[in-house]
Amino acid sequence: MRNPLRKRLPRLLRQDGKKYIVLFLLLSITIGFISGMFVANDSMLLAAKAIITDNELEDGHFELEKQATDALKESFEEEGITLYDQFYKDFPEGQENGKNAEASAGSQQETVIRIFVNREQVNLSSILYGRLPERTGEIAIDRMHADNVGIKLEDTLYVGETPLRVVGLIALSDYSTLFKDNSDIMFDALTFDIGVVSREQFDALDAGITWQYAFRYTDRPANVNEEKEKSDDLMVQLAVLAATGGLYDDEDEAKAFADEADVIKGYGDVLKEAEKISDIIKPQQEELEELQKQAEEKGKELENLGQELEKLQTIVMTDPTQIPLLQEKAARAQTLQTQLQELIDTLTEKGQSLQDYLEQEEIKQVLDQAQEILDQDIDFDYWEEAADAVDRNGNKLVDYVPNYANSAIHFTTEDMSHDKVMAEYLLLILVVVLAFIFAITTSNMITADAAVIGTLRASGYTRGEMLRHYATLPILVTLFSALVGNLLGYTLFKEVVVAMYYNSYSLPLYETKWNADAFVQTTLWPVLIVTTINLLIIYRKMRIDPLKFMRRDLSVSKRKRAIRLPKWKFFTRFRTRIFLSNVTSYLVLILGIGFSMILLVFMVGMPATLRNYENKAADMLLAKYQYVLKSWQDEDDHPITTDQESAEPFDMCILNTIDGVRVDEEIYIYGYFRSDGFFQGVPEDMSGMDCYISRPYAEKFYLQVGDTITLKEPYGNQTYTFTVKGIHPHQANPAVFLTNRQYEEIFDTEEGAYTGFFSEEEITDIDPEQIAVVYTREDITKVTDQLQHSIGSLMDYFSYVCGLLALLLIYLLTKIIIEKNAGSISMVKVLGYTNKEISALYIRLTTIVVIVGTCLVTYGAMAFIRWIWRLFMNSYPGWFVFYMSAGDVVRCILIVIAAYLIVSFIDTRRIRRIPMTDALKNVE
Amino acid sequence: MSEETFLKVAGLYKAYGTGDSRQEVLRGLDFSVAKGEFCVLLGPSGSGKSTLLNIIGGIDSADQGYISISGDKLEDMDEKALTLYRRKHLGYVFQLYNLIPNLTVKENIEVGAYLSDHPLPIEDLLHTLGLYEHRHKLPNQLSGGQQQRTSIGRAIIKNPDILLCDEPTGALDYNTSKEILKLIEDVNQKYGNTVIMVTHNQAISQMADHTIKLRDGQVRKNIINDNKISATDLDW
Repeated sequence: MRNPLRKRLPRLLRQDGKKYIVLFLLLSITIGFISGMFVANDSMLLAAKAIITDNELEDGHFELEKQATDALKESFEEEGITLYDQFYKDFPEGQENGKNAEASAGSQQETVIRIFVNREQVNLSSILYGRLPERTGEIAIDRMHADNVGIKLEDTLYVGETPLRVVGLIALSDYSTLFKDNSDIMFDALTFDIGVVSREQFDALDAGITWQYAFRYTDRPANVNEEKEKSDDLMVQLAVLAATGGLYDDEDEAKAFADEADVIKGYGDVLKEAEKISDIIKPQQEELEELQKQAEEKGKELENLGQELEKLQTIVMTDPTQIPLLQEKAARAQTLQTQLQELIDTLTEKGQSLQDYLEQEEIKQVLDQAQEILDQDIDFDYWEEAADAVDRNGNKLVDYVPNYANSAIHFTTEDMSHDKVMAEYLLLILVVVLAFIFAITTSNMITADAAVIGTLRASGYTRGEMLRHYATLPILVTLFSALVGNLLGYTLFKEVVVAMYYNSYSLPLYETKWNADAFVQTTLWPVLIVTTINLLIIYRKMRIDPLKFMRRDLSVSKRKRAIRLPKWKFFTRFRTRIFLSNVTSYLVLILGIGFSMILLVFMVGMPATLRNYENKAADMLLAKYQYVLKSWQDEDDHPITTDQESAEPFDMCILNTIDGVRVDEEIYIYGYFRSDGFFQGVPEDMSGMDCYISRPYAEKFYLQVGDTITLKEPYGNQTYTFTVKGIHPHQANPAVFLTNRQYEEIFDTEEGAYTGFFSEEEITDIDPEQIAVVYTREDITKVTDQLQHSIGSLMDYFSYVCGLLALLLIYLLTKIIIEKNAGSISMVKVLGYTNKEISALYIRLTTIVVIVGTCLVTYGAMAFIRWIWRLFMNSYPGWFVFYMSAGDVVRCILIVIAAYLIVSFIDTRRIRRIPMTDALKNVE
Repeated sequence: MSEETFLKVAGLYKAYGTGDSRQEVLRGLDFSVAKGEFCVLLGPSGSGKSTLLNIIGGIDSADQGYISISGDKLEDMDEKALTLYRRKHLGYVFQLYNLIPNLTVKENIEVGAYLSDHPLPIEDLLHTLGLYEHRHKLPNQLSGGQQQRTSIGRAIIKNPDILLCDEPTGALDYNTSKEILKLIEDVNQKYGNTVIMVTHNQAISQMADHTIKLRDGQVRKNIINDNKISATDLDW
């Protein structure tokens, strides 16, 4: 025969209907939402992951300063990768009616659209609506951005000045999240868009091209670790190849080459110097030679003339008529001798002058060095060719993003996975809270049934039978809630979650997949937790002897002594006793409030943090405008300057962290020219490797004055170790501050060079072509704009849902407390206590517990959320702190207190309704 | 003991349920109790004595008839007035004591003291009840007799006009029962309260001034006892 006690279960269910309905609603809605999230999450994750294989996703991409030559590309591909041109052009985006897209999104920032050519080999598009562009005048853009700003198929979109017809809404496999730059802290689906056009249209669009190349490994890495190792090696090889025009891929060899090239260049300089000397002495030597030749000719002529004079002297002795001829020849000889002497004098003088010049130490040194170089038999032709190759193919790697580190590809899946883990924990905590509520309810039921249980046990009912009887309802209600919750999860809530994800991510179409994991997490675990906690508590109760049950003495342990209380007023002592005897219920009540408060703090704190970040954005920037120049000098090597009075030059580069809470975090290294301008707060002078760091850097990496930090080049292995001398209250980015002299020494830059200008006013007298990028307040707030758009409105809504959750939990627990004390309440009523006095005992106590508990758990919840926030921020670049104003904290507390006030009103009525006959029922 | 009528029960009817399940518990009761009288309501189970006690205590209400205390009809009192009536005039002693489990002996008695503007001195009462050394104990640390004494203490500390006792010895052994009865007798004599005690133990009627025997919701006998004996002399 089946246990007849089972017939009692439906009656118990009816008897405690309200309580079980609330428990059922809490459980089924929570499980429904979590189940919906799991199903949507996993189904969409599968779709997102399918893109990797179906859409030929890249293994990474990089950008070069200029277009790679075929030779350079060939040298890249020799490193085991296949390259794909993925050039793009950025334009301002506008809509048909002339308004910018951002206007409809409520943002102040200009919307940028990044235009690619239709992809055919790698990073293919998923078409959600429409088709890909086939001819000029057509464009397909990101579906999510289109949704966000209200662009539809067939709309006309202005790409710069060019109107294009939107023929497709797509999801690009390498832009599942719209990150404009991989270093951005947050994606930006409001003011950033991507689009694809035909090759002809791309060429026709007038803008500077960014030379981006996607790559895929020819020999794919077996796992993530191998991929990271391979990627790191590849990055260095690409940087070296680009710098050496494809000559070398090994950093050491390239360095040896560069060193050797420097030496050869030095040799060349010496030879050039020697050549200059040669150019100087050559005319002198030629002149000397000419003079010598003239002297020789004169000498020869004089010698011939001498011989003739000797002959004439002999003839004159016999023929006096020849005397005039003799005199003429003698005069001629005299003239020649004079001329010869003059020539010899000049020759001597010039020869001496040349000799003096050549004997100068520096001339001699140059000539000696030149001779030594020439003696080395160097193949100058080779070096000349090498220099030509570097000049022709040389380039600069300006960006490198491997697949695994690409936020635009992985943020979606990582964020969805984080959501899932967070949901798992929330469900777990709520189920534990509800399991304890079930257990307290059952425990109270056992107390009320004590005499019956004693009688049944005395009659032969086993502990197991009683245990199963009392555990059945909690388990059944949980199981039923889980089943209903799963049903809701696969239908209603799945759509809610899917809508949320489509609102944030550019995901392809998905198919709902049956999810065994969701079933386990949302059904088996809750049932198991509720069962275990209830069985443990019921089992503990059932260990009591039947006789003690009959005597209603349910103390499991030895009789407790009463705690002696101070000589307080009677009501205070009474309330204290009530608290002490219901301490478990009150602790679970505080736990329940704590759970609600964690959610509430998050829901209220998140928008508050975003608002705070936005409000402080202006202060966070070192200057209102930060202009980064492409080069500090123009084509004629003249420094680029501005007449803008507020402008101040600065140096800047980026280094990466190699350790601490986040590896590869980008740290901005600033070199300042003045300590009393935009960098106020830094010392006028520093030396060596001393530095100041920004507060975000200190906070994120737990750095203090005196610590050392080691950073490395993003695309090389050179490391720099700095000593922190102070912390600068600059709030925007993790940054290091150096004087410009330190900067020049450490990074070996030209004296007086700078990266750009800080300015309080817009700079209008610098050619835009010379400006690489301008940072303004909007660049900082685009993170918060996006977050506000994605979750802002939901947060307010959910904060009231949290209030409702708090209300339900408080309702359940105070109901349990009042039911447990119903006998005493009834008794004091019989004795003549008024409802007001009874409320002063029970309601006021609960009010005190709720208020004190709420204040305590608010502090705890804030600490918990701050901890979670830090973990979250550690996973992403950049830093901003979780912030709640006193008003926000008060709002959280007031929401819970308001929920409690509603419950206390219900409880007051409940106390009033407790019949006095309850006190007498025990008698019969 | 005054002979004037203090409590009057007139034409009292009470039924529970409706239709076929309707059960008349009290069927036209008429009697009166004098001030300071020790009155025993005697009867078997189902005779209606506890229901009568509840109506006297203002916990339950009659369908017909009335009860008056010093001329004030309970049926004319609203809930607030009934609460005040219980507060000012009544003390309750139950078979199973109904102590508040999370209060100590002294605090349980203070629950009663709180209701009175002039409560009896609690320390003296604790001595009188023999509970002084147990005053800091919780009810579950006490014997049945000690718990009942606490219950009596709680009832009499406010020196009520009427002490309602519902089978006060029903859960106690013989000797303890006699001790409790003696205590109630002493209280009655010392403070002059009107005691109305419900019991099915006929022997107890020997210590009463007035015994009303009930059966099937009716007064079968209304006896004034001129030869009452002390509780210590009771035997059953």
